[in-house]
Amino acid sequence: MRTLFREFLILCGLVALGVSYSLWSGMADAPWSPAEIAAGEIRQVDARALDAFWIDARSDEDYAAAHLPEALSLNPENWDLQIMNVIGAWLEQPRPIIVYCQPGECGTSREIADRLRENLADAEIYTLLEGWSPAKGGAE
Amino acid sequence: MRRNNWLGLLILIGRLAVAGVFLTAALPKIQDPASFTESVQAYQLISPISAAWVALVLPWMELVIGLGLLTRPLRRSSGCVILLLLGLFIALHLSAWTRGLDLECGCFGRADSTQPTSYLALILRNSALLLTICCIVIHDFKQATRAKFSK
Repeated sequence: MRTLFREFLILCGLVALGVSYSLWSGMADAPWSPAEIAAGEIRQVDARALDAFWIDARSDEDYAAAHLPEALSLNPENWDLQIMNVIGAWLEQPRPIIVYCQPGECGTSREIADRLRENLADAEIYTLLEGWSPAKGGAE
Repeated sequence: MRRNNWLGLLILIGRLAVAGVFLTAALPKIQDPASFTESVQAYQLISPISAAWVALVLPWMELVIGLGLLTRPLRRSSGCVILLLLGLFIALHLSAWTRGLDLECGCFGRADSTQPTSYLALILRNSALLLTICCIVIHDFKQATRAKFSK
């Protein structure tokens, strides 16, 4: 039993060494450091300060289940159907646009934001850092 | 004697297979922890900070226990950790499946992201690995006990 415990300690030590190497070499960001913002991204706390025009880039089912108040759905599957609705609503009241995704699947919101920039060259368009899910609150 | 030889060979093949899967899974995730963080977040079970910790620690754990399974002094503990991890992975996939999440497995980093996730295939693969590692752990513990009493 004591040898097994010693084996576990050695495993923990080796994992700790590996993790230290990842952090020291810069291969991984420290989990406790705030997430870096890429160009075109916005944090939730900054987004709240804007009177933004919200776009939900998740699937229609997720949008139907819950979404941010006044958010309009725009996803790659139904782009042609939904884009005219979005452009019309934005032209009525031009505001900064924030596109949000499902946490962990933010490739979709970046794709939607890029396509929106092509269609609305004058608009200020961001993607929401780390996405939004009903668990984060503020749902409608 | 012959039966023992066959059993030893089967255990060796199983050990190499499980270790190979864990080593292959660990390396791409160590190189690209940011992508793996996104994969962990997609399961929607833990906060972004916890996901970043998991993405930092889990790949190194997989590497160490993958190598440990092939090293005599560390193979019992490595086997136990692999057994627990595989059980956890199966539970996670079942949970994502029942919640209807359409996500990338993230098991082997970004390389598998083009394939649509088949939960059944993932669970069957992990169950086969779990069965294999169970046999290996039982064999290793029996061998350690035998060695202890023969001293």
